Amino acid sequence: MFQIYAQVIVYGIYLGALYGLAAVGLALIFGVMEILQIAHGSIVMLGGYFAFWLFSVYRVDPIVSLPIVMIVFFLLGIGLFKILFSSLVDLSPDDRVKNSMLVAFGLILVTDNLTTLACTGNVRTINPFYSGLSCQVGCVQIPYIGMITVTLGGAMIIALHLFLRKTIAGKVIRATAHSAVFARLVGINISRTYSVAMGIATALGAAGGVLVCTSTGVDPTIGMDWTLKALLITVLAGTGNVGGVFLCGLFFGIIEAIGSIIIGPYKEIIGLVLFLVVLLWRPQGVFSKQPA
Amino acid sequence: MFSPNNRPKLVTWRTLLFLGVAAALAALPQCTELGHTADVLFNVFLYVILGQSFNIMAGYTGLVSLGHAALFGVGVITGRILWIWGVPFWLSVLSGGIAAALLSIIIGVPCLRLRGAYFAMGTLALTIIGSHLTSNIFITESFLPPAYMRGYDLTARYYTGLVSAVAATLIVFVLPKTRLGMGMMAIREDELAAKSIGIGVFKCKLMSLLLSAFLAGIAGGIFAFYQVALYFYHGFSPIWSFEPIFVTFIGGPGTTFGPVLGSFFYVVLREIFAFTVGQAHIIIFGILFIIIVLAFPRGLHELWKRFISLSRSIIKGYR
Repeated sequence: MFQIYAQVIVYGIYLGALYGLAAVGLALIFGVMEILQIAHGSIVMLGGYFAFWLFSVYRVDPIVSLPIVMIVFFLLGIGLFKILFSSLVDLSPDDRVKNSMLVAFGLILVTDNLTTLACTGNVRTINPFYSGLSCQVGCVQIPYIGMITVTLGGAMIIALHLFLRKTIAGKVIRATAHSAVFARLVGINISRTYSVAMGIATALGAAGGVLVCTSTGVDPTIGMDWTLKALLITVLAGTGNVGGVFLCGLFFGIIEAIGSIIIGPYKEIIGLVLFLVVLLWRPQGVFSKQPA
Repeated sequence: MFSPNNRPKLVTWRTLLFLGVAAALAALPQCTELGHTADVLFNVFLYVILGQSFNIMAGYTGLVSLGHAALFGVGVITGRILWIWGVPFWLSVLSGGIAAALLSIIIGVPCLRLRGAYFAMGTLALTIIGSHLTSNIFITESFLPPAYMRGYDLTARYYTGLVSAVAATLIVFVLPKTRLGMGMMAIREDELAAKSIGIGVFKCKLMSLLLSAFLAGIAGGIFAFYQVALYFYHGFSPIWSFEPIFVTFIGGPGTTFGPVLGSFFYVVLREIFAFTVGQAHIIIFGILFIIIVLAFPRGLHELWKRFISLSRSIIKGYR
């Protein structure tokens, strides 16, 4: 019995790292510019497809294609901000959240259906030579891909954390998140900061997509599920703390994995009920420092 | 907002236009054979009801909910089961509305404590919980019994939809002139200020939620009455939360006729694109949708206002 639970928790951590990676991008966008980018799940999906085509056409290993995908999606994110979201920045916060949600929904319609037309609705997975292999640690099997996912995900989150805390560019982003007006007063270029933040968030989402593609695979309809998961995790963790978001993602993955043993088909409900309880208890997020 | 000596005119060109269109739509099935057009128009009516339901909450009270699918879904399930049991259809539609209102009380009491984007997330989470529960409980598809199939008549659905859509619009037309509606609008503008002048904020929000849920449940009941075969959990699909948002925000939130305008625009355009460009229609629709949201952040209603003021200034110029 213990062995089953330990094994399931291992898979929970693996799944949770993917959740965390998807949620960090959304949290960054929402935290910095108060834009609700609900097409973030579609970015995850597109990143997965990009890596899939690189792998199946040019035989590029997913670990190698990860940086390529991230660079491409960084540029794509900047483009998305410049074309779609830059005109929303001047609206009042309420209108900004609503209208960005609507614009992002239009984007979901475009990306999901374009992907269906271009790549068909089949589930696509990347299967490099090491997929399916695992090593025995104590009484549990740890898949190599899971190890790679958690390590890479954790490394990216730590890198992002250090970037936001230690570099000038990161401090500029945090200052803008704190107050766009004061940031502008001290001479920060708001539009450029926003595009960089959007670029980073999009790159992280796409990186999550590459890793998703090596495990459960991608198809054109997964976008909405990932957006919902990312939204729940973002709200649970609050937007101020990158590490908190990732930890929350891990926690969510583990809860869901354990739930799947206990109540089977209702496993998704555990996470959601937990989410509601936390939301009522601390509406500003668990890891957020601001008072309610 | 309204001072006594500057009362809003009850009958405006917009009201007359709306009543004229409603009368024309009521006469339409008597004059010609509608065929597929009746289906399209039925969808317009459905979206008008859902849009007005969302409009009461988001447009007038400032509560953006992502949980309308739950209310709609409960309406669908209740309406369908009662109707198949042999309850007259109007009663089953009404009880769909009542069931949704009851559910909204259960949802409302915890969720109304949340504010802004968190309210939206909370309602979204509840909707997904409902969706998982129903898709695990009601696994089978619901088909109409043969006796019902023989008696199936699209015109009856058409008129049910039309009457309910007009009624929903009338509710939204009357609401801002009542004490409750004014309280709701005060909350939308500034919750703290509203509380300080003695408006029962929680009560107003709950009433708004109840009214909105009732309309959404009615829409669900009508949908259950319209569909020949459906999955019970279909009503909980997030698309039923997003489409009312589309319709309301395309048309203009917080206006009486915005959702009506938005529904016509949304459904008819979607239908036209589906016929002309086939499989790619959703992509083109998505691009067009983005352009509309970016060009008219306050909805198409703005376009109408500009058109009116432009035509007024032209008329004045000729005098």
